[in-house]
Amino acid sequence: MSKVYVHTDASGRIIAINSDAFLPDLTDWMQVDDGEGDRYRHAQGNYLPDGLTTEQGNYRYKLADGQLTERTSEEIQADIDAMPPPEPTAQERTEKAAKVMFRALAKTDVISQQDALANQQMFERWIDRIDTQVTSGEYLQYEDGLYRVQQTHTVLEIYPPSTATAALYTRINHPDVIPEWTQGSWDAGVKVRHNGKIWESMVPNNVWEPGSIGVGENIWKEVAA
Amino acid sequence: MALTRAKLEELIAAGEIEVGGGGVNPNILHNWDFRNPVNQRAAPNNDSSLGYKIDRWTRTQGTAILRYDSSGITLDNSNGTTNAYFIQIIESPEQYANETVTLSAEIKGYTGAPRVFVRGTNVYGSIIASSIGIISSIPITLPNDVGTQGLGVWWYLMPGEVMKLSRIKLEGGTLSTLNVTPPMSHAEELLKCQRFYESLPMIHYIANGTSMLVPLSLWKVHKRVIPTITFYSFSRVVGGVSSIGDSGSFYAVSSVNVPSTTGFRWAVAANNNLVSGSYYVGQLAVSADL
Repeated sequence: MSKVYVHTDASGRIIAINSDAFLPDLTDWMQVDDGEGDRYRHAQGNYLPDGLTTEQGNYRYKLADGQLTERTSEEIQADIDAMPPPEPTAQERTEKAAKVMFRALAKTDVISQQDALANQQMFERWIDRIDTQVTSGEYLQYEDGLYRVQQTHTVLEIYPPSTATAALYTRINHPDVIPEWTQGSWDAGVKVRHNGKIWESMVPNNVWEPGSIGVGENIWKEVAA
Repeated sequence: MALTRAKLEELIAAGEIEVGGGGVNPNILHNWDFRNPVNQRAAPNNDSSLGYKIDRWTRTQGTAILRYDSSGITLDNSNGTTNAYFIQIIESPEQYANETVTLSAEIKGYTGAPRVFVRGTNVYGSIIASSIGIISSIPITLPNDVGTQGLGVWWYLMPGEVMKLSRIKLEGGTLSTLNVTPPMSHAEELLKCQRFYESLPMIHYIANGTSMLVPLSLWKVHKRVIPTITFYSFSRVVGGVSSIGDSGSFYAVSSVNVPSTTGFRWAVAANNNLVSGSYYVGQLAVSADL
């Protein structure tokens, strides 16, 4: 005859089960059953029909009024919800530190715009910064592009990076990509196509149309491709 | 001169030629040669405690002393006040229903009239130590309900009795072949025994979090049933050398996740002080004993 014992935590969850054949010290163990055969002698792995824990490691059973009882799905879910997030791995910590450093160097122009563009996955997404303050010089990913913050502001969902918000963000383009000019604000040094010609912006926050009357080479300068 | 059948028989009768007895039956018992038994538990010599000792054999009653030496095992109940037993339980007894078996043992010494039984709830047959040497039973026909009664071989000593055996055999049929049985293969018996119990002195783990140990190596021999796992130690491996745990404490295991006949997924350490990502080593025992 083998006796089956369980051990509970402070909340009554059954956190261990075994038989008297393998427990030299029964302190803090409570007997719940006895019988003949492997189910009782090897109770640790055979007594409970579905096992002590779920595959995720949550305890299935509790001791209620001295009875071994299956916990409800709500009770188990509460345990899952209360679990702290896993500790970051050493690799995750290293990657995070690398991103922080890369962003800081890019913001202060130690890392060039083109290097920033080549490593745009190092930067945060614009969508994750909504309702937070971004500072001038920061880089943000938006859709498939990389944008640089032109002035410190609080990100609002209604004002995503575009030519309409050129005062807030400038898209960083590959040097071989020359976008078509649209009405908006263009940063100094940016090249655009307009009316069959290529123009370089000579000033920041450039809102003038290239080649229009009164807009001289000190504003938009025609350049070779 | 041609070797005729008549000449052959003449030579045999003169002792010039020895002829074998026709073969050796397999032993139904495991770990049957007590001169060099499998002893994974390192059961101590001169011990009177109960429980499993050498593999597959268990003390279930009495205060008799169990002794080992190179010529066999002695169960000494000379100072006992109750009967003493030393038992091997045979798995799946129902397959022996209505079968005829023969029990034999090599007696190396005795005091009184100790016995060896083949029994379940009832005794099916027995031998009594009455002389030194191989003693065998008359054929024993096991009952139809042996599956319900159970089947085992028992050393059975009353108070004051002593018995030393070097070998024991339970085999099918009506004749004992113990006298022509070669010494037990220790390696072969070890594998058979490990289906019931296995001692693993060094299991490697990795800590997945502060309370979870994931084993990196498990036992090789499938157990007969989901076994009971007993953890004896953990220590953290630092610089390739195992050392005492960080706080010098023993990480008791509070639960084992998804145990099976071949292993388990992880063990939950009770004190939540593991160093996540670190390697640990430890000793454990796996029991599926009957």
